[in-house]
Amino acid sequence: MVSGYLPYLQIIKNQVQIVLQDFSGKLGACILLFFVLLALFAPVIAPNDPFKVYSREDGSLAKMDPPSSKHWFGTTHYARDVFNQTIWGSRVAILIGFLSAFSVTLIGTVIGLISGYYGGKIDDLLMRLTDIAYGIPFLPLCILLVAILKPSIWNILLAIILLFWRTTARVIRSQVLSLKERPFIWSAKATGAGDLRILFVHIAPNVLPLSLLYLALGVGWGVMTEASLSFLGLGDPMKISWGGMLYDAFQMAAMRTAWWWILPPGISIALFVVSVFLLGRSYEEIVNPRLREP
Amino acid sequence: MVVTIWVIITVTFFLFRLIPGDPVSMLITENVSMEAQEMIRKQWGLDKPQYEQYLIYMENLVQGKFGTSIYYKYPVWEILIPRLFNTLILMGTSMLVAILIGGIAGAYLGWKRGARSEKGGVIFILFLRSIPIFWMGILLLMVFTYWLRLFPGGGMHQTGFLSQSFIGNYLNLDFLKHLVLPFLCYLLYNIGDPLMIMRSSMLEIRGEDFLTLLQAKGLSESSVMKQCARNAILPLITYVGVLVGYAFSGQVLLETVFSWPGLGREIVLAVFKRDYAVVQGSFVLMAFVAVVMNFLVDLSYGLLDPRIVYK
Repeated sequence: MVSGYLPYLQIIKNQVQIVLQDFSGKLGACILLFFVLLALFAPVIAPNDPFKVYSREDGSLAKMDPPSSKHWFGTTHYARDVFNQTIWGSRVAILIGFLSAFSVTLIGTVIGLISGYYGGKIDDLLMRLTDIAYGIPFLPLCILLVAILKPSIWNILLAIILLFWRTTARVIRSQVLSLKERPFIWSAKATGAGDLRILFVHIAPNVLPLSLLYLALGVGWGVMTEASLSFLGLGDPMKISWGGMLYDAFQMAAMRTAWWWILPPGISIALFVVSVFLLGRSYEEIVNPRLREP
Repeated sequence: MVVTIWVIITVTFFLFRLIPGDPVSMLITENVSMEAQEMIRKQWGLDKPQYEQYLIYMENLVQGKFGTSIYYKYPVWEILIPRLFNTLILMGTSMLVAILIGGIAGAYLGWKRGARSEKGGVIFILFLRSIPIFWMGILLLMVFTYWLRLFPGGGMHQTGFLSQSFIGNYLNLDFLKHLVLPFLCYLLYNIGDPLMIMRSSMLEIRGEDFLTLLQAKGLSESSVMKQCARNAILPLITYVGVLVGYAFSGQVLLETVFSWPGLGREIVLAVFKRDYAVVQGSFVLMAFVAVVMNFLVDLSYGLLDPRIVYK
């Protein structure tokens, strides 16, 4: 059991080190790092505006050109460069993925901590709230919210945050329930520690690994949700995202002719999501030692 | 259970009334006079204050009336029921197969813990799980419809299809052909979770003494594995209940890609059309299906694990 003043950062550092010893953890971290670098250096790798319209040498618009040395991934129906868009799309994915995962994990963890620790009426209320969040069909509600608030990445973010805390909250709560009966919590109480101190100095560090697991998974879910909403035409029209690219491609029936317009954004989403799932999986074996190999 | 559904209904009711834009604008053109606009508003009950609209809505709902679609001018019930049926046919069949195959494969992978096939299998499944369902659908369309020309590109029937009876809609080759691709897509999408759950549940049971005893008794490996799987199945069943709640999210995307005339596609269309009643009706139906499924799952525990007794 971790308890006392061991700083949160130290715990996170230890956990990251363990994850990186595992093969799938390493693989996931590499892919994730690759996308982070893509997003950071997007202006260097693809210096042209992703909305830029290209023409061919004879002056006609470069519509639906297959991959060539000029356009590595070909062009879209609107004569835009698919490679450019794919690179720039990583920015939205990283932004949405990390922001949503951080907020969802924070909210879920705090609700889980409070609900599990205090119990009684507070617990009942919060858990009813979680039940309701579970009962609402997720994507349809996001569609509704984004339609109400006008499509923009901030509203997509809000929609994700409003519902996704439910899983983390439930898992953290059950963990807290078992933790709070342990002797080290009793002794903390006996020495006169207050509720807040017990919660954040003694209990929280012990649920932190679990929160981190859901943080990793949350990044994947966030990216997936953004892509789904954008694919339904509810994405931010001013930002290039992978889901938005697929929306355009689907609307233009690109699967008939332009495979080069379909493959890059889809593969990017899948690779990005799998990278955090891989991290999550290797991490799960730390959190749940029973899964570890004998 | 009832409370949950009630809150969902209430939340969606008021959310929907926050949408900027007047649903009446869907019905009229610019040159309709103010008086006529007022009349339409009155006719649809939109002139009343919102709490009154809410009370009327709840009253009707309790009587099983979902209101009238402002777009189709039909009772919502008549629009949604056939669509719910279409959704359930697609979702139910492929989910059942996904759980069966996923459960068996997961049990196998869990049993073979540490083998190379297990490691590779798990990474493959994770990758499958990371593919967005709509992209998988587009890929399937690309390969099987436009490239190999094996299956139709969407919808549930050929254009011009007419059937004499309700059942006749579903019992023919044309329907089956249209079902194949979305079915396959949903199957691939859903197979990952049951597999992983079954796998980790197997891992937990595997070390228990009764299995060692069975082995010592000289039972073949496959029958010991069967005993282990029998005991590891509960988490998978729990998951089925949760899955139904999530399933509608995938369903929305799947139905959009394959233009399957189901509840999920209807909800997207209705949101864009500002068809209050239809969206609310779909929400209620989805929540209802999810809650009922969870209830059935709870009941099934007793059947599967005799230690659980209902009092």
